[in-house]
Amino acid sequence: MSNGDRPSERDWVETPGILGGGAEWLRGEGPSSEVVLSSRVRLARNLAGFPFVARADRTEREHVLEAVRPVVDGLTPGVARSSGSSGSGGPGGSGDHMSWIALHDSEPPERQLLVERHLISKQHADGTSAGDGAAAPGVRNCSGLSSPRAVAVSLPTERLSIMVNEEDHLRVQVLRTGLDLGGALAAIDAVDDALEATLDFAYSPRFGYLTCCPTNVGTGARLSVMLHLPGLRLTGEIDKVKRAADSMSLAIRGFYGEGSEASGDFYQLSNQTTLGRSEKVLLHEMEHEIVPQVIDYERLARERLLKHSRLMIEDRCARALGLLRHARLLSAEEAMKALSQVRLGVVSGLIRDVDLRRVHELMLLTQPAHLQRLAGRPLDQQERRSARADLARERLTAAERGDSGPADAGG
Amino acid sequence: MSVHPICECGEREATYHEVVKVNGVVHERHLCEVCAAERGLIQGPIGAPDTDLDTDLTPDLTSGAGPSVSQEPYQGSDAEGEDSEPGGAFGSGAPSGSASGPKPQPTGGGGERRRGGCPRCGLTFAAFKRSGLLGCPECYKTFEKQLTPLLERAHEGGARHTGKAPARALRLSRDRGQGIEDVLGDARERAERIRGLRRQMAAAVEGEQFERAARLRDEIARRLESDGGDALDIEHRDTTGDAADE
Repeated sequence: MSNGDRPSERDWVETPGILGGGAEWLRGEGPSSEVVLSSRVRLARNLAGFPFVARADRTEREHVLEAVRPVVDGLTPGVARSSGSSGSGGPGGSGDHMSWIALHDSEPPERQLLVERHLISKQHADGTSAGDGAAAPGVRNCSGLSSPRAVAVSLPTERLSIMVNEEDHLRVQVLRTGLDLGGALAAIDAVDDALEATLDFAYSPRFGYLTCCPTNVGTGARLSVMLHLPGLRLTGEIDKVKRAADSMSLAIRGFYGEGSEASGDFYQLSNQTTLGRSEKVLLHEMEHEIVPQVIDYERLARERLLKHSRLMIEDRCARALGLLRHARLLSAEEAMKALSQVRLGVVSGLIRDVDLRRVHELMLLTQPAHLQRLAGRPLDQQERRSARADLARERLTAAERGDSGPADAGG
Repeated sequence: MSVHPICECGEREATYHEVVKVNGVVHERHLCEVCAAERGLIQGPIGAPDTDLDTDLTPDLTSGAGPSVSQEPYQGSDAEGEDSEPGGAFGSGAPSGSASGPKPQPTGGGGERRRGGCPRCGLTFAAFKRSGLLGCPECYKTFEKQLTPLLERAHEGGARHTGKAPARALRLSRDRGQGIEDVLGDARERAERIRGLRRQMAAAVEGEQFERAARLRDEIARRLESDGGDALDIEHRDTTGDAADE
């Protein structure tokens, strides 16, 4: 049962495959994918008998890792639960296995790569997710980069990831392309049961699953969708959506989650409350009431724009594509904005020689750590701008010629 | 300074002010110190004054965007402990019948893990307020009274878990013949949960959200089935008005 023929985690992070494959949200398929990039469910779980991470010293955090690792290694993410209700398959792809990465032993570029792929939070990368140690003055030298913590990722699809010793002992997330919160919830439910078959989770009848921060207590579940809302931004209605979300206790965050700015009109919409409503009710609210409404608004906005301001939209999309195909220096923000415009052009049928997957791929590959991985060396800011422009030019002109392009995804 | 309104009891000036937004509707509540303490919203006066005890129990759980709450901290200078719980919130008074957990054992020798906080991990409520993070699962029991109003604010009135329970734990507790109390709570707890669901269902019907109402109805049916009936009994007693006090 040990490593066997599995590639070690370092092999994976260093494999060229990571630059094209994996990342479920890249696929650009699934229901409502013209507006919804991906659906994500995460569960917060803690082990009974241990202090929460914020108050655990180094030894206790190591014990958590030791307790969790064999259970996670034993998961078979490609296999559906036999009694599974929705028959939507396992949480991972059929050939998936779990790969464990000890973050306290990892290099900064590796961690950054995982952040850019939405597999760990920025805080988990930095080791600051459990506060700054203020909650436990007796616990010194334990927050920060050397804090014992890990992530397990289902490879090669990356649909399932489990952060260990983030703010909670376990933060499990399942990702699905397009709008499929139901599929993601069913899959994560199976993972949760598989974990709980061995691990004792902290739970109380009254408060449910107990979490380090009381804002997550109860189901410990957060359901979120990554939305692309360029239409609503152009018509100036995005603030209305934000206000509506606020009044419904939903959070709107940027592309990289908590604390990040909306970049290129990508917004992450998620529930805030976890106590008092069951997972099913929450799922229904999100998937059948709230998200479809936002999707409809966005579709309507796009229709109106195409009807009344078609030339303006065509111009924006064409300029964005031109920029990506011809620029010699591109900042991250500039690239993201242009890719957002191109995405709108592709899904609206205004741009026909670029496919959605290529756009998504560039959204990921033009991030700093990915650029450096492609280059095989550290790049300063100016070098990154140049490398970013080169990459976009190469990938998008290849698309124009109808090539499948270099280093395409295997997976 | 603005003039303080009078407390709901009509007797004293309100010093505790709370604004909660539930489903977009703003609810305000103004209470005097005594009433607020009675409801566990602020720390009531407790026998032996402990300098660590914190009186202003309002960590900003929702950081920024959430409901705003203003209150004036209770100073704890008068009215010696008439209304306090036996043992006080930080005393030894563990909830009865809790089967779990060994006796509190302060681990490690740090001065921080001391009397006045959670008996298990030593976290004080003041420390929780600073970080917004609890120390261990036991903290939920230790600080239950102070946490309850905070949880209701953070979760739009949700005060009780409704949703998944750990499957293996549930099975084990059934196999051991202990019933399902350990996992699903005692009959009263379960009845309360079902009442909450009924309220949600009624609200859904009122708002003509029939699909949601149907889902809630299914959930209620499922819960009644798994509960095996005693929760239902209590519920009937409660709704007919002769619920026994515990």
